[in-house]
Amino acid sequence: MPPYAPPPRSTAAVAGHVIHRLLASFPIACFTLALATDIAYWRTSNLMWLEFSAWLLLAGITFGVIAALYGAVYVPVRFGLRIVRFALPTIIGTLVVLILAFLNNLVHTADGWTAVVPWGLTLSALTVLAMLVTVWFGTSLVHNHSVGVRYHD
Amino acid sequence: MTDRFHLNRASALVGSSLLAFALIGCSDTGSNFDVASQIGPDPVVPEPSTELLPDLKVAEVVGWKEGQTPTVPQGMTVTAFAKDLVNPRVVRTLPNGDVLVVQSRAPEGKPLPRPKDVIREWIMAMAKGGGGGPPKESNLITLLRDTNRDGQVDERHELLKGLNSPFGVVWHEGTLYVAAADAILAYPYQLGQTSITAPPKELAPLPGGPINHHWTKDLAISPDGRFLYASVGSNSNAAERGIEAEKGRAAIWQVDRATGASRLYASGLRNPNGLSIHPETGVLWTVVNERDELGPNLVPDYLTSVQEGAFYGWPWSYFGNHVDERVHPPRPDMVQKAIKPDYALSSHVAALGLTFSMNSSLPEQYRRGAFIGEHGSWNRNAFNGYKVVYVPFENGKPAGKAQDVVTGFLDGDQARGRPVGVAIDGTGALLVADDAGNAVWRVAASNAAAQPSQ
Repeated sequence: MPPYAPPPRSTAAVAGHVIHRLLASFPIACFTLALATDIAYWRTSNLMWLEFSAWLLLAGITFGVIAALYGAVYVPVRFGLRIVRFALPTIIGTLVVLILAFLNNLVHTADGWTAVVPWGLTLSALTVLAMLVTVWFGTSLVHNHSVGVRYHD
Repeated sequence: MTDRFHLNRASALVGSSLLAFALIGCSDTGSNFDVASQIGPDPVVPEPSTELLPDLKVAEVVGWKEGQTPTVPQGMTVTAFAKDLVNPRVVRTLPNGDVLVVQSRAPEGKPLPRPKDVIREWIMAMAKGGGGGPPKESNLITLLRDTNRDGQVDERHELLKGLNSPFGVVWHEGTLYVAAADAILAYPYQLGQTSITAPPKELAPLPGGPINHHWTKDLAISPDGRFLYASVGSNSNAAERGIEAEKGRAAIWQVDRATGASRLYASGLRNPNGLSIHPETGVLWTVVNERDELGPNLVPDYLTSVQEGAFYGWPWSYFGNHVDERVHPPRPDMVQKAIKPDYALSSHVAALGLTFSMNSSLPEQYRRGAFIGEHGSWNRNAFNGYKVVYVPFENGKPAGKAQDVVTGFLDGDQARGRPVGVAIDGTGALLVADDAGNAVWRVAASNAAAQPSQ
């Protein structure tokens, strides 16, 4: 018996997947904060919060689109088209999030109260909800189908 | 099994987002709205439409080709009074018949607090064109002299240069008052002088930068010569930069000519310009640009007499007591105070110039009313404005529909020019400043022998 066991080899496929994770973390943070700043504007009528929301939504959708395009190219190239079947819920979820966020960007261009109450706030909440579900789908891709894990096939 | 469950959840989300789209997107008010129904003392005021994407249609400026002029009705003739100006916005005739042309550009460096502001500035700059090369020097006042009163300029002098975005100008008893973007300046000036070298005195400060969104400050003088009236536009469309940015703005100030002491004369006027005294009643009148992004047929711009101490609604309400839901918290007390303006000019025409025609030598049917320069719309899919109209008056009040007088500024989706300020010259003809076409147009009765100024 050797005095110590060799450490297990890492199973994380770092480069490609980490880039996707990094890109995707922007919309997750931005859309969540936009919901918070929308609520702050709704409660205070302080227009500073509306300005925060507008920039957060713009940053969120910009990185969201980049992350989605990156995923659309990287995942099939790395794992083959077979993965699309399992990734379908994630793909649809991502599209829903981006469509909701796009509409929300437009709604937030209104001058003042109607940029947020009621539709801006509603869309911000729906975006976060759709994002939670999508992230859950995406995580199940890693755990159930070993996407982002080396030697999966 | 789990995959199918996922798919059902996903399609439910797609469905809900489409539903949200449908709910927000139902904003079409139809294109068969009669613009004429918004001209007069009791305009049709439709419900606001929530536009997902605000209409944004600006005519690309192509300029006037050699020999091209605007169009005027039969019985009148239009000629170029002056060309090669740089953004002429205001024309003013001095008592000796000399004409001052104020040329100016917007102050630079306005903060842009939202992505929307950045995108809008970019689109508006594209529409303005400007072509290649460095922009010509603007922010100056040029004197045009028609020595023999034949309707043609004989002498041209640059009276003042390097001003801070000037707009209004008034002369009284040896002093030329110029409204720059942040102050009223007083220059010693005798009629006939062709240059000004003396430094100005600042008569009174006016609300200025750093935002200075509606920056054009117009001037008029009270009939007794004691007061100047100065118009100050709002810092926003509908108070979206905060109500604290609007202190002293969206208002007309009264300034004592002797001391510079200033006070608010009227307020709640989003962007007032074209201050003019009615020659028979002595009452102050103005045209006002109303707010955008409530749909193609809101809010009508208007012409109104200015009552001392009156409040006209902005930002809390429009055309009387129609509440603007965008302004929060609501102020029912201010909405109740708001008085209805006198005469609507229809939505988004951008009325910027106003002059009464009582001293003119134009055909008889144009001698008892007001000419209004309408710079033209951007927040509308079908252009509105881009012309000079005439509103007949009776007993000191508008009486009858506005009529088109100077048209032809548009050529399809392009603009040759855009009218701003209007004035009556020393021969009684109408002058129109065209800030995009860089010209001043002169409209005279076709059969009129040139007449001296009254």
